[in-house]
Amino acid sequence: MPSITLKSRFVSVILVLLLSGCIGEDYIDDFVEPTVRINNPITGLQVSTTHSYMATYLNNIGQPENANINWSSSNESVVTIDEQGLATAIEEGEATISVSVTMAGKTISDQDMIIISPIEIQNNDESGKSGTIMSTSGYALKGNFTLEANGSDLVLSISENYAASSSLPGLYLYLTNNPNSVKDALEVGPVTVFEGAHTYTIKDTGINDFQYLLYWCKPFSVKVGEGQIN
Amino acid sequence: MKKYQFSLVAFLILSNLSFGQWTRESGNGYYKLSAWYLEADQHYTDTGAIEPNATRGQFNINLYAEYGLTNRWNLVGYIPFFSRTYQNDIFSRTTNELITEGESVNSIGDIDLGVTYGLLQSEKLALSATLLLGLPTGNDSGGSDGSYQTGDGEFNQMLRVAAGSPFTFAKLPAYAKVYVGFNNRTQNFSDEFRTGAELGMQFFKKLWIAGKLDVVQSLQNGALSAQNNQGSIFANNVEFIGLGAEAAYYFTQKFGVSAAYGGAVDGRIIYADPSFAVGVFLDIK
Repeated sequence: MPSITLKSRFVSVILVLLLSGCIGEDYIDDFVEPTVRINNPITGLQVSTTHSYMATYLNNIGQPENANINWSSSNESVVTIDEQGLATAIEEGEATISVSVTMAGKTISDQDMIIISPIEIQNNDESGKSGTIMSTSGYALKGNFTLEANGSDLVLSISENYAASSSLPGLYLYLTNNPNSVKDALEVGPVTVFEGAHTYTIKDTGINDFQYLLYWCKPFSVKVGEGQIN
Repeated sequence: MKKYQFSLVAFLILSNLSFGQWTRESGNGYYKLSAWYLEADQHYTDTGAIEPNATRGQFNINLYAEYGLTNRWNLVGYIPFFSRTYQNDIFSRTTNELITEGESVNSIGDIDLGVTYGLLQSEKLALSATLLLGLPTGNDSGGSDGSYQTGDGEFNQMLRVAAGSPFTFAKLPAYAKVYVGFNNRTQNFSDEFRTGAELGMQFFKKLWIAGKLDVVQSLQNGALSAQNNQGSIFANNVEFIGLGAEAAYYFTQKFGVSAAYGGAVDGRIIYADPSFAVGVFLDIK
């Protein structure tokens, strides 16, 4: 029955094509070096006052993770710090407060150099950061930016020298601690300005919460560019 | 075409070969039921560079038909009555955690209907004109972010003039055909100039093998861009040079099977992976 054989073969080919049209699996390289970061660095302390340091450990995909955090002072006669991160100013001088985390035999750390003074020191919260946006793909993307705290919000100001390709569909801007992934990143919104200065107001976000701007093509799930927040 | 996939669907109808250069005589017809498949993890950017993307797929089952109303007038139709677009799940290579869940949309695709008029039909030369209407019957905003589309949402009209000639090569029947066309697009899409060529040859009296070249050039006169079409994967100003090949085997004088392969060898805003199709056809002469 050649016709039945032919029909069967055609149906088989259609079935193979249908099955091959099923959703498969893609894997992205989202590894980043783990970091630990002091969230509230200061300029200095007046003798006999205290400051409660806070730190965040970001794991190998840039997500906050509980870790055994160790605090230390480079000069305990000037300033001491306990295991909860509470620093106490003892006498006039300079010291470096360090935070460290040891994971799998590897130690990572962050520091804050401070001055201890007999007079009151004005500790302005870190209110401004900046960086440069650059393309990591074949699509045009460049420009400088500043990030400033405004109460509990952030104001992201993109500079006049900014330019982005308008040919890419579904370009979105994120704040993230992993420039290779949007998992747990904060979606700022779709990119609707492709040239020149413009601003974004990002609600309820701290200036030290994220390390990168990330430009991401949503439909293709690929990175277009990034800007490290310095 | 409003999106990457759709441009290749458009490429598909350009590439639906019926292995001849003449219009159908009255009452005759060519009907082909095909399954077409494309899966791509890279695409051509607006500058022609190749960039990776999450694996997206497009699959459809379509009917392509040519029917002779008279000896000079033919009806032409392409109906993708089942069209599926999907994207793979995306996992972290570091943790194996799911980052973005895959998604799919099924619907009818964009239908093309038209007429062909045989301007000149001699033994040595066939000249024809085709008016093809692209109907926005597909889904142009499917899925969670609107980018799972099986149609471009616009009504276009393409006028195409084709010239073909039969010849023999190494005593084998063969034909060559060239065409030029203009695709008038709406909804702020740029119009397109299209051209191409086709070369086919018959072996063992039952097997036709043909190669095809298609070129689509955007006239860059449409205002649609990511600025005003945010979230759509159907991009404007798609351009490509496509090469394809198709083989058709006649089991009888009327009935046969076909297999096709095609892809863009150069392009702008189009997938950079090949498509495949298999089909059964009825060629009533």
